[in-house]
Amino acid sequence: MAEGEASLVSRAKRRDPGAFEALYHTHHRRVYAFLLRLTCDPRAAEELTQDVFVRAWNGLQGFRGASAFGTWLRTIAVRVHLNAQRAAQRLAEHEQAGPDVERYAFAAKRAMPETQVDLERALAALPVRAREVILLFDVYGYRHDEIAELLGIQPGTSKAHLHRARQSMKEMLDL
Amino acid sequence: MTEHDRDHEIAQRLAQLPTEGEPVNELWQGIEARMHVWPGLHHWPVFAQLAAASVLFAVGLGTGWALGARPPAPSPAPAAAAAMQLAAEVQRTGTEYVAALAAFASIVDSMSADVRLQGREAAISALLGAAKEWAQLQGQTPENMEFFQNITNERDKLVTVRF
Repeated sequence: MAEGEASLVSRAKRRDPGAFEALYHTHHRRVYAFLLRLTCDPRAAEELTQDVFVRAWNGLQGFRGASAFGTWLRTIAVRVHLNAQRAAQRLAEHEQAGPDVERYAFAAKRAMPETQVDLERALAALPVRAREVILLFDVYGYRHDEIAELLGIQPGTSKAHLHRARQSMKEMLDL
Repeated sequence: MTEHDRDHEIAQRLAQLPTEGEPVNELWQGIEARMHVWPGLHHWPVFAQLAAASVLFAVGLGTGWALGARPPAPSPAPAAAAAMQLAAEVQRTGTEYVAALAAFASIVDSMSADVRLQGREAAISALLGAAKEWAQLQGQTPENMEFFQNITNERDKLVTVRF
């Protein structure tokens, strides 16, 4: 944990909104970028980013500092994303359409000007579970057992999704 | 280039992607609005928070209903002021309700089944009252009635579990 962050977390746990706001300003861009790639929808990513911080505020007493605060936020982000996905699936009468890849590519470039748009397009075109796995493994460095726990799947399933995701990306990127 | 090399290249390029992005809209104010419960409330047991917020929410809606049934005010200015005040009250009590519900949800797994059920019943009952008023406010369109019916069904499921 960066110097000063432990003290901010401690103050936020004592219900100091100013300390929590400082934590928000440190972390919200990372949480937003993570959710933007998971959802491929800038509006949903903004709403879920807000949900993550509200949940973090309400659940701060449960943060023991075993992981970095940013990692804890990312875990909340995955849960919030999965909940939103389940809710959307319940509401949808038919199978949900995939993301609008071009709209996502535009939003990704706007939010992260230095990103590689061809990679972002290929990520957005993947099936949602494959995208979740490859993001967590290759972009954020999670292990398969950690991904399995986060997503509620078997480690072997995580490996299979990663393999398929990389195959698809190689085809899309002509590698 | 082997399959392994291509996998490695994909992994390397992905690892170099930026991991910070700026949202288009300002998000903090919305978070702050949902964080703030009234002073001292966070020291209350979560169930008490939920019950208190539900009462506030119901009072806000009840006040709106009662004032809505009154004869028209003599001049438009006081009516507009009352409407603004009521809209602010709905916003405030609604925020309290959502904050209490989020606090309840954050520890729901640690509760006994009975307390969990009571909390859920309190939450859905307040939501049902709000949905009924919403349908009145917006007009009884098929969509609004379906919305109301869905929440009624959810509440009925909970009541069925209890009895």
